[in-house]
Amino acid sequence: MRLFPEQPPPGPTRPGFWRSPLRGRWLTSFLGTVLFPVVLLVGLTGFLSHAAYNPGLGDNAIVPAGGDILVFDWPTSPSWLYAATQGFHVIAGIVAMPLLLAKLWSVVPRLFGWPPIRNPAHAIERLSLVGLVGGGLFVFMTGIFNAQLFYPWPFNFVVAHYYGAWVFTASLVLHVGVKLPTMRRAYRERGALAPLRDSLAETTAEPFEPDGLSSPDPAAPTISRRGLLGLVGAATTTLLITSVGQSIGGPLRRLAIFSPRGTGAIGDGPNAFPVNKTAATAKVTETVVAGWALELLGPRPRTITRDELLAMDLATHELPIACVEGWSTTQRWTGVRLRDLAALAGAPEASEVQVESLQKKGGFRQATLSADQIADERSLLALMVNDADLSMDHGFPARIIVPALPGVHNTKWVASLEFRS
Amino acid sequence: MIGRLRGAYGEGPLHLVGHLAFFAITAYVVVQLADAPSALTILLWIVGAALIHDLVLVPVYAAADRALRGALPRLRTPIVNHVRFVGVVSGTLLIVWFPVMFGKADGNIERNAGLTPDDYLIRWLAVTAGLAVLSTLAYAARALRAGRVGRVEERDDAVGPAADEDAPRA
Repeated sequence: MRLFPEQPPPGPTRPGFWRSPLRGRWLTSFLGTVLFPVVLLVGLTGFLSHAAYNPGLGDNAIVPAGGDILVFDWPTSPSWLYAATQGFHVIAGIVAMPLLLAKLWSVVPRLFGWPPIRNPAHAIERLSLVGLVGGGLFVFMTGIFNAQLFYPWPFNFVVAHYYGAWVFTASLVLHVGVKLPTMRRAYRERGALAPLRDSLAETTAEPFEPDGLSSPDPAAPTISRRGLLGLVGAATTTLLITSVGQSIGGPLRRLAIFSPRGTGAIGDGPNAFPVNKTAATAKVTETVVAGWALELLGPRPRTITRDELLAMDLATHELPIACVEGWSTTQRWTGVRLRDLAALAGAPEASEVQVESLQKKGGFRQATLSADQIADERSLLALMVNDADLSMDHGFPARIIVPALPGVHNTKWVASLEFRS
Repeated sequence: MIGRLRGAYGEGPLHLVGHLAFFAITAYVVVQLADAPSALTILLWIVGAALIHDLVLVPVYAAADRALRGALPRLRTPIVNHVRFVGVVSGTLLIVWFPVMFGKADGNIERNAGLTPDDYLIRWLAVTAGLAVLSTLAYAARALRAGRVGRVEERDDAVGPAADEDAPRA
């Protein structure tokens, strides 16, 4: 019994509908070979950045229990570790887009292949491709939207992006496994790089095969394969130039012209560097911070005024703040070492500290830091930045600065520190 | 045994095991998300992303390319790829950064970053104009160097902008 008529209906289900002379096993294999390491970098740094939140501590976990597979003590050195992993994650994710779109263009006739289902193996392979194509587009799109503070969906970004990455990664591993023989065949038949040498005049279509990517009736080429890859490369390069500055700073920062915080800072002076969340949005006003004193909790609880903190032994360190959106900025912070505060609270060997903000509502108003993070000489309850008092937007009266810690865990407007042993 | 599986299933056992492992992971994700209030929405977005790409985005840019090839004059030095260069680079910038360009996140940028959103749309137009200038200069240099300036007279130029990729057969 036949499920589908032998002859495809007119339209894209007929092989002759697709006429590009460039499509074929080699082009798709080559695009896949270039795209794979970029996706690997994005995936690896993504899962690492998730681990950087130390989801095993306190209320740090964002995804429901059982979802964090990579849990280890996130190190404090080098101090730019998170700036690097997250910078690579976001920038590589952005610049991968032209490659991803080209790769999908190269295989689009397969979506309409006839018959739609040949046998059980074909059916489940096609179903898994929903995870590959849909999952891939989903994780890239949600990540890129998050970097622009654009949330057109009702779900939690982190949860959806993280689990979307699971599905995408699993389907990608499967896809590479299934397609490896096809890639090897393409490179064996046409050479790994040989088609790149063909000029437009030398460009020929791959011979047609049923259920393949090449056309039975190819049009005359209007661009060579290397020309097509050149277009993709030009798009990638332009995206790189216009976004990398938000992560690495320096003169390139001025070129990050589409990143919301790429080029911008509020005002000028010592506090003129990008803000993740303003005091006004966090509803931390002058009234809220008036008469502030740090609530230090532990075996010897006490409160300490800002003047008392300023009279303690202060340390100054150049440390980056790096945001999940990929931007980072390195500033000179001055404050009291967390380990001195731990000793003051009667917990010199504290295994963790729970930090609470004056911010009453909203995400990341608290964070739990690890023993290593408390013990690091550079971990500060910062009171000043670039020799000036912190501005309200940067966390006045006091904020956490810990090397290599994700930006949002450097809690601003600190209300209390609870050291636990 | 393996032969019978291949006959009934269509592929070897490794294919089946690999796909079962993938669906097991996907099932675990679905279970993890089951408590999330919008698990179904996430699924819809994943499927929707694939559908919008394959059934809207690809046909739109394929049609744009076809229209471009039809509209361009037949020149002795084909210009089509110089136009494609501008279209591809500018188009990818648009696909990636359209939320800020069209002010989709203006409120969030003001509230969170404390910044007045910049004129991202103007910047994109400026970049596009710059690319167009670059591409035109490159074309002029190429055509002059090859000494092939002006329109094609004969009709039998095999490599020309009239070639019709991805167009339905008449």
